[in-house]
Amino acid sequence: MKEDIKNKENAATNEFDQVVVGNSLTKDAWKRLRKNKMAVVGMVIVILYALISAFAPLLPLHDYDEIILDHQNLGPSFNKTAGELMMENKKKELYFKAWKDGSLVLTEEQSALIVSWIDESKTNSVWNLCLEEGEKQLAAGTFTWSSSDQKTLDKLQKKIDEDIFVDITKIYQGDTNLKKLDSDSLAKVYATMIGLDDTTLILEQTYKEMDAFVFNTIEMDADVKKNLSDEEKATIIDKEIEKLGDAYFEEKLAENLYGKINAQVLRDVTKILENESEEGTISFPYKDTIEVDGLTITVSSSLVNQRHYLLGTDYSGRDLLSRIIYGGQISIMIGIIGTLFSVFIGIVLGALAGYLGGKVDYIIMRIVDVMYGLPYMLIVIICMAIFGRSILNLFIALGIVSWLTIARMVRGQIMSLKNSEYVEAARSMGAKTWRIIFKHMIPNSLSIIIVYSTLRIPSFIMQESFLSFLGLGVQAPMASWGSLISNGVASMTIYPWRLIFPSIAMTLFLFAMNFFGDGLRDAFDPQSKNQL
Amino acid sequence: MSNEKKTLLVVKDLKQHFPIKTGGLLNKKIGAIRAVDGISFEVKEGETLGIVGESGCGKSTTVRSIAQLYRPTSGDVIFEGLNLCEAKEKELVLARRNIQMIFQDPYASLDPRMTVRSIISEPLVVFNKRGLLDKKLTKLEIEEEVERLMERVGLNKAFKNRYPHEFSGGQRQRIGIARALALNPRIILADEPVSALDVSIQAQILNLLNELQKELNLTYIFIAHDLAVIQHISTRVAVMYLGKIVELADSADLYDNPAHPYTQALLSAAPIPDPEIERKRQRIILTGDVPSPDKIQPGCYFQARCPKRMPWCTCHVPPTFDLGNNHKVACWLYDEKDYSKISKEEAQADADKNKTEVK
Repeated sequence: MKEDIKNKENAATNEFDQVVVGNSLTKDAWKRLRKNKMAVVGMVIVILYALISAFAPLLPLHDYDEIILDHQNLGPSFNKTAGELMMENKKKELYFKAWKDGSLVLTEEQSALIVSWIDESKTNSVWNLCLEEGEKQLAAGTFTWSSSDQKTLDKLQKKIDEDIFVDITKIYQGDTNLKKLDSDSLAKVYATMIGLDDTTLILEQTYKEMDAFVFNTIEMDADVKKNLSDEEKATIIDKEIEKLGDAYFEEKLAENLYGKINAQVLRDVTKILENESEEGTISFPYKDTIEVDGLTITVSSSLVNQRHYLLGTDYSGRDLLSRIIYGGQISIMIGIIGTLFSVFIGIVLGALAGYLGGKVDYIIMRIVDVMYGLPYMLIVIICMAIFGRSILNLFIALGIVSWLTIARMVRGQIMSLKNSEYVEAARSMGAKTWRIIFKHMIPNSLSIIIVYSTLRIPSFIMQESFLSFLGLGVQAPMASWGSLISNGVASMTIYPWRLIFPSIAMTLFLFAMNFFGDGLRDAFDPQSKNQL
Repeated sequence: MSNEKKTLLVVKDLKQHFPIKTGGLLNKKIGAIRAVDGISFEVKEGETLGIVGESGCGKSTTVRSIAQLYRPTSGDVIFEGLNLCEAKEKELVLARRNIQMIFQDPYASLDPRMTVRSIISEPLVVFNKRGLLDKKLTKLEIEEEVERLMERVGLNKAFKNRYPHEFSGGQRQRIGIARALALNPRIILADEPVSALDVSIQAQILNLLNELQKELNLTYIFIAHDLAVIQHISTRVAVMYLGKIVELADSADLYDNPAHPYTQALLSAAPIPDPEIERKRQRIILTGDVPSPDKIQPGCYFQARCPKRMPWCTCHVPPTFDLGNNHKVACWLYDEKDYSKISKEEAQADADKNKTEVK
């Protein structure tokens, strides 16, 4: 039966046996969009951004929240490793010190230049000049490091060469993953590791830690908490543990023990790897399993200072490239979810106002007018201050102030469609209201809603960036383009890359989105000039 | 002969007033546009009632009120014994099956986002879903019905996957006609179905409507402001002016002996497709504007522009006079009494007397 219908539908052939396929408005719009080169470029860039954000976890990036304090504020570089950059930075500092001590002798002109640069706080220029001249003189033999400086440099070089980064992915005992064991077995494993015969001592210690942990989580007045006697404490804790349930307690206990084992294993493995690297028996990056105390451990390890940071690092030594990508993830998400939120509210209220008309329309539209009159950023800032700073609150705060325009638009559209002849035709054939709304009105207003939404996304990203810039948006260690830019601005003169790269990433996306939105608007407008 | 036919639709003193409101929260009503102001007529089975009149005289509002797209302010629309104005939702939907509309603008009356197939099948689908058809139709049957309708109105069934914007005006009007025919209606309300089309296409559509009428025994209420079109298609013609019917007669009778001064002026304005006669043609040129429909007139609604105005007309609303031979006209000239000698003062005094009597 179904196939019969399909055949019937496809049987729309003309006298030459050619299948006649309709050309819907959407198809037509797509054709027109493809003709608009800027819009297509914009669309490709937007899709690229979306793909990169969506598949960020699969990309070979450093963790966006991994803090390596040795790598603070390293510049962007294609070929130099983090170690080389660290060395360079150290040398800049030491050469400058040497110039100040008088051991590095520069010409009068150069010295005068440096003094003037210091007055203008052009730190980078000073450092670069010192480095350049120092290296030149060092090579010519007219300058030698003082013994203490030489020692500092040697120590740094050794650190750069030897520091390894160890990551333990899995710990197995025989064939079982340690994460799946219960607390008793974990305690036994830990006991054998640190050379104890039975587990009582370990469990005692762990229970104490758990009590402290539970006690900390209890919400209570701080003064009262401090003045409790030991017995009172014990009863409160017991009650709380009972409330939390055995399963939860067991889970936390196992987690605690696993953490202890992990720390111990990390120490052991690092020692082994360091020894082996000193003997030169392994090469990095290293990825293998190691046997320690009867446990099989999957380890990946690398020389931390051999890393490359294409776009440099930030003030905590986090990779800027991965922060921009993960920040983009959050910014784009805020753009999309905020838009969906505001479009949803806008469509519902706008359609109600437009379709029902009368008093409902009047009241909704006056609310919209009043809200238009208020400075919306102020409302968002007040919301964020009252409800706390979290991403969810950010969505809600932006959503409640941004549905106004779409509500007005949808209302106008519905009002004009309500009196159109094809809606009258549908009514005269006895169609129900919901059928008219869903089959006629919404499909016919969808194009402007789509266009508006695509143009709305960049403005949401801008608003979020603005809030992050003010310190009300996304909080570290999470990142968004706005917060990255805000961090970058603080040290714009010394570390310009921290401002430039996030700004480029954001600007490019906003441009692309705007061109794409404009293209969509032209494509959906049947009166536009580039008609087929 | 026409008397033997069954009366299908009766319209009694139909009024459609659109309120003028202040807007705002209180939304006080401060007046009304009297778009249709008390019209009565009957439509017999198989005939075509043409309605003519200038723009804004309430032709379209009349058919929309009959179709219950606007709920009439007062009056009755009785279709086969059922008063549509007081009918319940369910009865009304059932009646709608028999009363279908064809719209004026073939560009605006088809949903641009639907294929021709879904446009034509929409009435069937709506009624099928509500279980109001004699027999539940399967998808395949609906599909076949759509093809049959398309071929009946002269469209290639290969076009059923296409969208309205891919058709010319005439083809679109055919789609609109196919949609109106889908439920096998008894009466079709055609709201200026040809006025947006080229003259050559107009003829095709009119011929199609004529054929369909003969074949399916349809009844039409047909609106146009082209007098030639009305003459061609109608069996009876109603002439409307400012929300009222001023003259109602058989088509031939009306065109040969127009009784009302307005009808005479209207007919004299129609060009004649013969240059020699056209050049000699005497035209009655009306002066002045159509009065605003938001005021109640004390006298004849046409008196301000009437070339045969008498003092009596300014303060007495004319009733309908039967001239015999189904010819009805609302004009004081056709009363048995001769009012032309009555002076303005006497007429005014008579009107005031009537007013007090009513009080």
